Amino acid sequence: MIQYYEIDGVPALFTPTDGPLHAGLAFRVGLADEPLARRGMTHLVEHLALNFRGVPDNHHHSTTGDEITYFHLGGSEKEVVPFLDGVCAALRDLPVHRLEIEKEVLRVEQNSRPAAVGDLLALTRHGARDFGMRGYPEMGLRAITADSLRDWTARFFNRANAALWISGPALPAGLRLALPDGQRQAAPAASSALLERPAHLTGPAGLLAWNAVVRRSPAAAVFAGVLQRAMFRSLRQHAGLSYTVDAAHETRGNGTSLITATADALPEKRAAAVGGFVDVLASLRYTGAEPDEVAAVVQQQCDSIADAARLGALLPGQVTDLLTGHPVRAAADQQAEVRTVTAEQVRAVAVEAWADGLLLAPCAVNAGWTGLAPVPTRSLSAVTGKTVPAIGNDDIRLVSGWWGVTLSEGDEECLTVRFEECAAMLAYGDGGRTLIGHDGITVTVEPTLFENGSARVAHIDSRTDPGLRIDLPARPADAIPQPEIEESCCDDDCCDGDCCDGDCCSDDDCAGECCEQCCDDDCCDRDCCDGDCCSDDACQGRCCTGGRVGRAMRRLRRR
Amino acid sequence: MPHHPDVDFDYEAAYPDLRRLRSALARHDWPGCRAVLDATDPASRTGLIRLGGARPHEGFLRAVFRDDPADGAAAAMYGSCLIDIGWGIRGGGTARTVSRQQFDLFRKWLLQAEQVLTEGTARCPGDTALWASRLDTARGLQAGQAEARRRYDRLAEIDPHHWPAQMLMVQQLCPKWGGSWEAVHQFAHDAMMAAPAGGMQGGLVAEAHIEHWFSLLGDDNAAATAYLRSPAVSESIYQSAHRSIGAPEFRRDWGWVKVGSEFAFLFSELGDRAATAWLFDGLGPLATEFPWHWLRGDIVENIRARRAWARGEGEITR
Repeated sequence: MIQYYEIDGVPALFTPTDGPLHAGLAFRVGLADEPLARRGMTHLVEHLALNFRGVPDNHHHSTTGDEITYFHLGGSEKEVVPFLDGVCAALRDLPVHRLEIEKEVLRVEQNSRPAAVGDLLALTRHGARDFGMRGYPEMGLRAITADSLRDWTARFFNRANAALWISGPALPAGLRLALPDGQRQAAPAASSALLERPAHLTGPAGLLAWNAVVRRSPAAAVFAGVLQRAMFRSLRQHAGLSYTVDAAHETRGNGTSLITATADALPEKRAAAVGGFVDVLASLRYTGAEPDEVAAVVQQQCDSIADAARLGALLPGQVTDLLTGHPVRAAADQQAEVRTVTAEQVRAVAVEAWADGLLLAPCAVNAGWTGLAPVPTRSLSAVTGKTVPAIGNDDIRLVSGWWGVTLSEGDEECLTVRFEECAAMLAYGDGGRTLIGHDGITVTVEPTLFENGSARVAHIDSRTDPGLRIDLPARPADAIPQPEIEESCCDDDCCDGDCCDGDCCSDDDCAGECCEQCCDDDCCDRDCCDGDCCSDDACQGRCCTGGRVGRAMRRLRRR
Repeated sequence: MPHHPDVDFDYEAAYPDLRRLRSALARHDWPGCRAVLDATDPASRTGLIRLGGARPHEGFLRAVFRDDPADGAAAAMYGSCLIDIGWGIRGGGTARTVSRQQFDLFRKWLLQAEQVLTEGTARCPGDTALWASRLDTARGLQAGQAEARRRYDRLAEIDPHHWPAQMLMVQQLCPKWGGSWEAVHQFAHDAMMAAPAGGMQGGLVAEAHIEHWFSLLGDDNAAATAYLRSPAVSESIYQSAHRSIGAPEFRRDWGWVKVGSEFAFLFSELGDRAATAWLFDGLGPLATEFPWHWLRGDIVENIRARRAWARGEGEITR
């Protein structure tokens, strides 16, 4: 049961429970609202807002999500009321004197946070915008000033863009939410960086991951449950390919649902895990799950809703719906919706999900055989402009023109960032530049590697929106790449033909030992993880010829 | 290939069902095709589907599959047909002999086949012919040993002694496809020992030895012949012949001509005239091109020469 209140103009949802008091103050803002050049801004506000005297040192947690940021405390009435007062006061007047300290804290937090497979899927699917943001580090922190932070706070952390949830024995007395006026911010749209779907790429981890965006519906949630059971039965119980399988469902404010599935596998079984997973999805979309299987998941989800309702744990989702313009549905309504789901509806979701799917094959597995389109790792076109060759390698060229910058090798492969589609530019004090395009393509310009490189950097600086620039200190001298005279086997023309023999690439500088096995079936056991070789789907004794440009580019990028 | 009354490579001569199937295909008579396929044993059905699903019938089989995608035989035969077209473009040579364009087209057809077969196995997970053809696509598309094995395991749950698929696994496990000799020989031996006496599975052991022999062919045949004549290998050849084509239970089912040809070849390499003659007598004019096409010179002449040698007429020139 939900009771609706309004506190200082902020909508509040209260669910009476037997347990302790919980309160969460949520705002419709998250990573997906941030431009890449200011990535980290919302998280920084979240940290600063929790810096007031008397903030309890436990029982509270705050989270910056894709679309929602919230401050939560579980405790007594005497703790909850001052906690919310303190957060609101800090948001009214940010303690910006702590700006630099909190930036450091965030850097530490970021360092200790493990990379999540969903982050890579997000970046690949959406590029360097909105829902792709979680795939990027908080690279905008350095560029954030006290003024820009105040503007951000005023726009998003205001009373019109907030909602409160409370669960516990009773609504605490004396609750105040003294927030500044403002406007409700619409849920962010989702960009796509994929040219074709369904698509696949090879990931760095030993994990298979897949996601798909479908229209939001109760059937989509049931599909995730059905998928998880089918994966468990097929990949774990039946074939013994995986130990941990998971399929999750989350809604987005734009009326879609994101379904994410993961499965682990031993190195020697990874290719089979991909095959087994593709077959699970094929079965769900061609024949569909059995009606009793669907019924079991429906029952499971109804039970979960009931349990969550008892604990007040439905409230965060209900507040999210409220803030993103969706109707707030009570537990009974949610259960009733789920109960209407039929096996045929679930099959229809499977069809929709497959068509939108993005598969991240585990490390060293080329999933080209699935027929899914390979995710582009290069740009489709170059810009025109002033062209300078790399010192010591005429084949690599830097093109900087009116519209953008291209790094190319040979006539076929290039990386391009157009200035008007640039998401951020990292500017090192030593002159190095890294431009990141909306599509996630990155071009690194090292003035040391190109003739007249400083002039090209000056041109790029003059054409890049200053608001996208993130200034970074000069790197240590030994971290700045210098031209190399290419002499070792793998830096040059080797691998064109003779890698099939497995005798080239003995040099340490080789991007990987791919060539040892490249032409056999399990090609590129090691190298695929870090690059392009064999991620094009035509590796039949050829990956090394196709991969040469990619490797040269990679060396440039890595430097 | 011109017709030779004494050396007949025509599968229809060996397998009358194939003639009936092809005749129904030519008439675009799908119920007629199903009548042939439904009446035979699973291994023969797979063999017939894989041979019947050939390039000229692409349009007809596509229509049949689209009309009823839940018909496993239709999916398997259409998938086989797409595979046949792909391999026709690629040719049978090593990767180095295939042009980029050929390879791209080959892949395109195989990917299309894989889609059809994936849908087929999703709708008819118990159809062995579909899983057997998915071993073909797994190999051609380089899905890897683990994925091929997964497909074979799915198939083996339905029919643990499905000879046509086991033959594909022998290919898959060869070093040229990323496997190892140890894995090939082990698989072939295990499959043979697991199968009832008189099964075709002895042919798996024979084929593994022939593949191994071929890999050792150099400027002369010495190393390759020495391999076959080593005590362990020759004993394995005799054992597998006794357990299959030499066993009283052996029946002339789908694939027997290939098994007969393989053993005739192996015994002629071992220099055992009597065993070779017995096999040629059993085969009559019937023969498969495999493995004779790996000998230097004309296939038909090679078969004739070995047959004559076995019957005491002359010597084999190597």
